[in-house]
Amino acid sequence: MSPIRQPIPKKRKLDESAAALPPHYDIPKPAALTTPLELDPLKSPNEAIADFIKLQKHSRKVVASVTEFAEQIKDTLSKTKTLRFSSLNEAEASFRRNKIQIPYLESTDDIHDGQEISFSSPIQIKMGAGLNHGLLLKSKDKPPLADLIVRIPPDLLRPKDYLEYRYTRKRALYLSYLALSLVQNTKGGDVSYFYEFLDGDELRPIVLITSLRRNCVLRLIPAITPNDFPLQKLSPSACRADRKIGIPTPQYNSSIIADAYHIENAELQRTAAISHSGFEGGIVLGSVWLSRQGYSSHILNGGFGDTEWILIQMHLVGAGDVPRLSSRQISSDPLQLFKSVLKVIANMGNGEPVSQHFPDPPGYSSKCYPPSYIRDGTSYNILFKMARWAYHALKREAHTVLSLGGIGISLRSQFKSIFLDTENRGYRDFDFVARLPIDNTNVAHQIIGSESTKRNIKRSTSDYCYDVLSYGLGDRCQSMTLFATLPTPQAVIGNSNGEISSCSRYNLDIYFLMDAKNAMRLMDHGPALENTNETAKFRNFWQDKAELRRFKDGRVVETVMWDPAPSVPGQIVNFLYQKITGGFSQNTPLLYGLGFDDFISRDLEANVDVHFSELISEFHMVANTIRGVDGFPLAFKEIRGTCPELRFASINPPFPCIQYLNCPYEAEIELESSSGWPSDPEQRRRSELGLLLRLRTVLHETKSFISLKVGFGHNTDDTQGSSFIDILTKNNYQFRFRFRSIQNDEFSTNNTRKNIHSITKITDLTLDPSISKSYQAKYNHANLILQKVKQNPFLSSTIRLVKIWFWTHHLGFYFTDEMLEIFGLVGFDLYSTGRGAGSAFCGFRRTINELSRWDWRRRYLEIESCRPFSDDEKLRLHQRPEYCQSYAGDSGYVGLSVAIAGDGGIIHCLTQIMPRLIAVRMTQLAREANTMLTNINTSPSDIFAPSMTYFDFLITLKPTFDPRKDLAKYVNLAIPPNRINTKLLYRDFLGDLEALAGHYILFLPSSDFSVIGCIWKPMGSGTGNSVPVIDEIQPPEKDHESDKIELYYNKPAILNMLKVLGEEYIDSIYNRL
Amino acid sequence: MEFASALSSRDLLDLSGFKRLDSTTLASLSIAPSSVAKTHKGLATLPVRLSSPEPIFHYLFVKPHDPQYTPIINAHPNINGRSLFLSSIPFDTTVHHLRALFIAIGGGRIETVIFSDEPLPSRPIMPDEDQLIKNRKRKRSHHPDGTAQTAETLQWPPLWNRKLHAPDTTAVAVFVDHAAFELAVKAINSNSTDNPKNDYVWGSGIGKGNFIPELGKSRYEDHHVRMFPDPEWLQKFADDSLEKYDKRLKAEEETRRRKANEPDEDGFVTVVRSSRPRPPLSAEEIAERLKKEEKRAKKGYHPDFYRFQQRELKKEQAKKLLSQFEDAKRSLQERKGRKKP
Repeated sequence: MSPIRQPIPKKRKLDESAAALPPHYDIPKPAALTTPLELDPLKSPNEAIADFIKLQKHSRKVVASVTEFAEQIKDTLSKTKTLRFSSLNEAEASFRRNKIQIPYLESTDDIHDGQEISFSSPIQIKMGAGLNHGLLLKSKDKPPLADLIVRIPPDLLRPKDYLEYRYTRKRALYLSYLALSLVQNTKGGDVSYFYEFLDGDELRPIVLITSLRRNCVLRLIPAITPNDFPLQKLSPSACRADRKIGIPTPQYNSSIIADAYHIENAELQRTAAISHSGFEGGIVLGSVWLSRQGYSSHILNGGFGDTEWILIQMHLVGAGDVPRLSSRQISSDPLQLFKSVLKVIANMGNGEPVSQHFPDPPGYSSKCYPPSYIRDGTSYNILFKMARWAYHALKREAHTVLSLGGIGISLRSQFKSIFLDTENRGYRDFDFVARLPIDNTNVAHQIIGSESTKRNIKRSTSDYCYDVLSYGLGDRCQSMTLFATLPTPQAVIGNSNGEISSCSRYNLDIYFLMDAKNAMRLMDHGPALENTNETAKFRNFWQDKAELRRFKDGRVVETVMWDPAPSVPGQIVNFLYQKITGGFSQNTPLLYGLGFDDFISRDLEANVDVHFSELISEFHMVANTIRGVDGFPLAFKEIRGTCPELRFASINPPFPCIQYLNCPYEAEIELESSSGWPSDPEQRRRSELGLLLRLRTVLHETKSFISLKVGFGHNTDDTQGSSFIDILTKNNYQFRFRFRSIQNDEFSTNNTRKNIHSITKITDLTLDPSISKSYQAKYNHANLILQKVKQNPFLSSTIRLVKIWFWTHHLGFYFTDEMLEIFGLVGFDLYSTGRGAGSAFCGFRRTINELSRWDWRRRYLEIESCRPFSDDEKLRLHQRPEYCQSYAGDSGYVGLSVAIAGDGGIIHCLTQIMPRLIAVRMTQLAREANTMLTNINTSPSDIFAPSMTYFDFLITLKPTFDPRKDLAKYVNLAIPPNRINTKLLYRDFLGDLEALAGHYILFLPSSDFSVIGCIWKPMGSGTGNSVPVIDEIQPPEKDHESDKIELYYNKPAILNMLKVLGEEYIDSIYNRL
Repeated sequence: MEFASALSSRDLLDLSGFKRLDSTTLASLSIAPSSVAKTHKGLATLPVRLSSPEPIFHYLFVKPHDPQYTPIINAHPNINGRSLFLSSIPFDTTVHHLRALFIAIGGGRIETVIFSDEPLPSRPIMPDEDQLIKNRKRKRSHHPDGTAQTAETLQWPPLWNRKLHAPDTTAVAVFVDHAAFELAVKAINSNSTDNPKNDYVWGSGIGKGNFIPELGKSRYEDHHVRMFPDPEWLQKFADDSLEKYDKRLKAEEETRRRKANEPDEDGFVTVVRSSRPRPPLSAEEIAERLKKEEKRAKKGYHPDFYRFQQRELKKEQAKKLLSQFEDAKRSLQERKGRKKP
């Protein structure tokens, strides 16, 4: 652990009850849910934002303590004795004898080494920016950090020193001189000294002074002033500091210029903070936003952090003599100021200069990287450290945030979506991560020739990796963020030789945000054959992968073709990694997130969507045949699919059922003039049967199908069931059509279960009653999902992953397909996340994260995939859902409510009733999965592995027959009646178990019902957990007059009943030890 | 590994911490009758051994039935003094099981069993009772919501070959006579938990003539066959049902029309929908209509939008002009005629 880092405080577990999971009977109350950050609804948005800003700042007491410490150091430094040396080498040797080690860049020019040098106390010591106006920002797990800027005496540096590398050497020696003085003169043992490089720039070492007693860190930064040297000479393109190489050294030049403006910038910041009321607030918001995105001034973290943010902000408000960037009046509101800075970032290099005051310097183009942001009349580009990837990624992030705060969205909502939601989410949004093992010895020869290869090699490597990856991925990738491990500060006192040590092997983490539409494209098009230069470049880059192809339209172009599986982005990154390392690396990059895509299409044909499309086209054929029949007495209004397979949302893709009666694909028919149906439900059912028989007759005459069978059963709420017609097409797809009944408008139920938990109630929460009345469109789940699936290619796979997660953890039985599909939609909330998921993993992760934070006892799960909720609507949705109120008693059932923002101001509300135990378990598992997903080494199988220890006993059924396995064995024939897929039979068996033993046992089956986890339900006070003894067998007290019969536990008899009921099905029963 | 099998969790089943439930384990969980009290809260405990290799006992709780529950009395008017109330009945109980049980333990003969989860048969109406209902003016008791008729129609065929009972089901066993009932009560007392010799196994002793369908696999396969009855039978079922429904509708319509003209015993006439003209509109309705008409007028009417309209318009104008010309001509002639004399 780094010596300056404080021990990380113990984090509160996300769910302590889940971590030390007691036996499930001991969880009658819901798990303690963490309270998400919320704005105080009683305060105005501005007040609430002010409170938020206040929370991000250190208290006055802390600031006073740090200031006092800085004053002490200042005193010590001002009393430093003068030291004289005959040469730089002698000075260096002297410091080394005193064990002071501060590395510097070796000068290539030894001509002036013999000059005399004299070190004297600094002529000016200033409090750094922030501390000089009492602003210290809180940082996660880090002590307060402040700057102390010391001005190097001008007589130490000669004009030639600036133009050669001696500036950095003298600067480092002066820092060693100051460090020596501090080490010798500091009293007390609580202060320690370390060195590191200012923002990772190896040209500029600094000293860190840490005080354990005060728990703070001071950065001692040597600086010069603009008057010490004519800085215009250090133009980025003109000056060639390294004579041997003879190329411009913009990084070196900019470092000196940055040093020259330290003191001035600190003073300007103080002036601006005093004169402009919202200035500090803007800094705080900017800092919070940048740190959440992972950016900092460190060159390995993008090179854009608080310092750069503040400088842009100073230009916006026109601090001191700095001309104002915008001609318009800048608002004093912190959030507006924050957005103004974002606008500047978003418009960087958009073809127009940022301001007329800041023309493009020579060699810089405002249309592209590097971004120019030059102080008026100087050559100081304040964004000189910004990395290429950070330039593109930040611009994209800024655009996203600005789009979240569009017209018509209230201040409260804007602030919540920009700051609170991201904080509550607590993770970086990405589609996948690539961890590239980098060995500098392999990469160095690829980047030879660049002057920067000598120093900041990690940064150069990152830039090179970015260039290769961005070219290779092209429009598949929206943005990348690259993070390398930051070097830890080293102790000033030591025995090293003063050379910069650089780690040659490390991991480079790259977070990708993909373009959903292009990510999985199989073919990349290159330049046309005629364009010889471009073609040569393309071939040089892709080498053997490049292929020349002729297309139907006559074009002959270079192309690169990728295999459909495994995931295309993964193949590309692997290929490019070999290119980056020059083919020398034996390692392979770790790709986190892409495994989830492969997980759902394992052993299947790569393009799973084809199976869905085949089924849907078959369904359309059947529907068209039905519509076209003659002799049916009523007209067809609508024919629509209701099963998940017909909306790309089933766990397994559909397959034709050859020789076996598989689960038929459910659909419904709506007839015209439905008002003429009999009001008596029983008679209506009989009329439906009559119509279905008629439909069968007329369809039979078309001779378009293999078999047509009318049956009845499996209805929602009665024992007799509704009628249906099973149609087996010539392609062996079996559909089951029912007439749409009145109940379906209000209740959507899983047709196999008759218990209370299977009910999903669809209600209307629309605020404006006039809208509700006039707007006739009912909630149409299938249409919503189909529409969204077409918009985003990853929604289907996300929904499938969500369903798999629920089923593998044996929870899926208690959720309807509609509910699970809506959970999958969470990852595609454009109005809270800013972008749809670009991979199945991303969508799945967003869903799991939302579920882990969802307090279903108190609020609705908000789905904003069609439109955002207004403030009034949100206020209403934060009230306790209606169904939660009805089931809030000790009934053991709870209602989980989801609100969907529909078109035309409608809010659809879906409520699912389920045992409280299941809802609590869902939250616990989501929290565990959410924690696991933060670890880059987590494999999909870890997430989907069920924990059997939760169950009291397990019932394993005999393996089910899977018709997909032996397709070749069967011929295309009609289904014999006795060949039924065992899954269908197991479903009925489970229905019986629920009806007969559901009072005692909670059954949690796997997706194919072959393993059923069972939990004994708690019965009364303390009787449920053990074998009943004499006093616990309670006979019923009342007879038929009673509504409730008191039941007793006789576990052996119940287990025996299970055995009898599942004879020939049950393989074995396992009891927990 | 295929994805579907990964989901089944069968292959990846982690059974550490679990033990297969064998006969010994199950037997160790069992509660011996000797440890169960003979009576609880006024109900006698009757142990029955379940048909399994392990000695597993189920406990029935029995007491003489006190028939205060009106629908039971209505359905079975003469069961007082010969019925026994049973609760915690096993899930697979049938009338044959209970008959065999009481015969085995030396009880009386059971005539019928009334299960709480099965519908009660309709009460036979006596001639004198019919008169009584009329006197009490229970005019709408027959079919207040049309459900009474549905019971008369054909029943749907059962989807299951056998009815199983939920755990909260109770039963009333009706014995052939009071003596049989007395015998049964005595048998229960002598075969309660304190009798170690009671080794009756549930389900044994049922005669071969009393066929009880098997449970397990065959039950669910049979269920799927029952979901698709014979098409011809199904067609007949639908035709009969719809025919009866039509008849019923016609009968209802006739009754309704008849009642519209006939006052009942108290002189009231049932108000029904009829073809008489509607009452005159109220002031509000008239105002609303006027508003609507105004709106329509504001919206505008374009008499010359189509070409045929323009043609007709021109024709009308020509006709009008012609008639005006004729009128003017006539009036001129008349004036001339007046001046002449």
